[in-house]
Amino acid sequence: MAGSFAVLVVYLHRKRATVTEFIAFIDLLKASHLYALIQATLLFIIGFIIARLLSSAIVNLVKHKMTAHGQLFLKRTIFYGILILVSISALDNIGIDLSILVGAAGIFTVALGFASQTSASNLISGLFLMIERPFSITDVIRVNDITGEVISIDLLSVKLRTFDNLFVRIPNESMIKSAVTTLTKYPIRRADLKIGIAYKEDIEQVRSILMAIATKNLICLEEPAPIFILTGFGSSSVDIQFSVWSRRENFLAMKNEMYMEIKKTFDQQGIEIPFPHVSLYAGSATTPFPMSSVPNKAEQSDK
Amino acid sequence: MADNAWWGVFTFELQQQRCWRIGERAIILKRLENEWNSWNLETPNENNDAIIVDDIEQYSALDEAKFGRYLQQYTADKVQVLPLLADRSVVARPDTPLTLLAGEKSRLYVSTPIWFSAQLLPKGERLLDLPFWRPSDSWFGPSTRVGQICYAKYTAARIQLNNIEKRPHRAITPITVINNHDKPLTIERINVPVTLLHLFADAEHQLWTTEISVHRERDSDNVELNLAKHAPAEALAAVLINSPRTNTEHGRLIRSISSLFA
Repeated sequence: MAGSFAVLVVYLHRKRATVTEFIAFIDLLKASHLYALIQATLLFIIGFIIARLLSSAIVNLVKHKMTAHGQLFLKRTIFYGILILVSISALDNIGIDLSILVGAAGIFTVALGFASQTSASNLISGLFLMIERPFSITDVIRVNDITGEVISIDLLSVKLRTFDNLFVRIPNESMIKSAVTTLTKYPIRRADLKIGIAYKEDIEQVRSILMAIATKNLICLEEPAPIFILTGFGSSSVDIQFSVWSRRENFLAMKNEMYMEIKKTFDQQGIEIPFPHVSLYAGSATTPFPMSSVPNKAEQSDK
Repeated sequence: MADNAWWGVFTFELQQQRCWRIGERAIILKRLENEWNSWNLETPNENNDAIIVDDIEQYSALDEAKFGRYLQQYTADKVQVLPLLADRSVVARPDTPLTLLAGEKSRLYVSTPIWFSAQLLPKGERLLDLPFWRPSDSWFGPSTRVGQICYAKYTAARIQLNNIEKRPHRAITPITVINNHDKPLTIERINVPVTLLHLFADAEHQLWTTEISVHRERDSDNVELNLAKHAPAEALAAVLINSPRTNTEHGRLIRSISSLFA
């Protein structure tokens, strides 16, 4: 019993010693920069989490009133706004005088500018893209032969999902520099069908057949009316452009149906769709190459 | 509901099927214990025969029909079948463009296609909402950027009511146009906002919609559109059949002239 009491006394004594050591350690830490650094890191981490939660919460509140593009823009603005404030306060906590930083910023910016020229250019382009809004999320765009649905517009790049389900990242700088086509801007689209007919065909008849096909097709719009353009006399065919309109959702279906129906009707009506023929001609002064069909020698010897 | 009409509440025994048919065009509905089956047999060309409802058990050409299955834990026996107006605005054009002189008033009659709707009672779940003949898509607006998608084809616009053919699968809309402007109004095409109109049937089962009156005032590019709540005077002993797809509180709308006439 007495023995165990002695052990407890020793333990408590040691414990007190440990607590004293710990307090001394904390005091030492407070005096050093490490404490401020940990405090600043904690502040930054908590700030980061708050920025995340707050931006998501606010976007959730106003979700049904905004487009996907607007939501993303709002979320980013809130998130980065809070993060910048927290960072400034964290830096202040470490004891870094921000006024000095601002003074150094000039030199720093030049150095940083040279070092991160491309990123900075992308960043600025990204801001312009967000303000100008030539397209928004879920739009289908075409940039330099890449066609796809916009899945996100970020500060450095725009991400697309192509129709063969590939993920494409396009730097904002090239989006600003090159022509971007938004395929889903307007509700209706025009399909230009290129058709070639033989020289012997009656163009007026072909025109009325094409118009009848367009009228019969339910997803081909009546207005704006289909346009029949004779584009010229090609090397082997009379070239026609038949332009028809449809709702943009039905664009591909309409184009397919029209081409199929045109081929079917032309076959039924006996209208020839020619393909290039090659004729050899050796000039007017000389006679054409003599040509005759010669039976196969091997076949002849068999007989 | 009117007698011998193709609409109304129909009672289905288990395994019973009913067919609504205009010539070859047929819509068939069948009740099973846990599901409803539907067959939609379409034809390319419009037919003006009367709509016949029958119980034919064996129907040829069902393989070509579009088949639908609607599952329920237990099917109830009552189905409400109603005619409905189109689900978008419909564009009609007179045979030749009309010019309504300044300060004049005219009454036009437009006939537009009807949709077939079937709802389960008592809850009102919609089984079918199909056009007898789907009109083709069209665009109505001042440019290819601004405007609306609507329907064209299978429509007609006439000045005399007698010239408009009365068909069971079309509804007639009387439109009064009042041109108080000092310039004449040219009507090549009219955009009829059928989604806002009530549907009525007269004693002969001909379908009518509420009357529209369009006022074009002096010095204004806008027109005032008044939608009546009652059946038009031409429809004798009319009964309300169905309410509009889109309910509007006001019967008075202001539209730009380019959204109605072209």
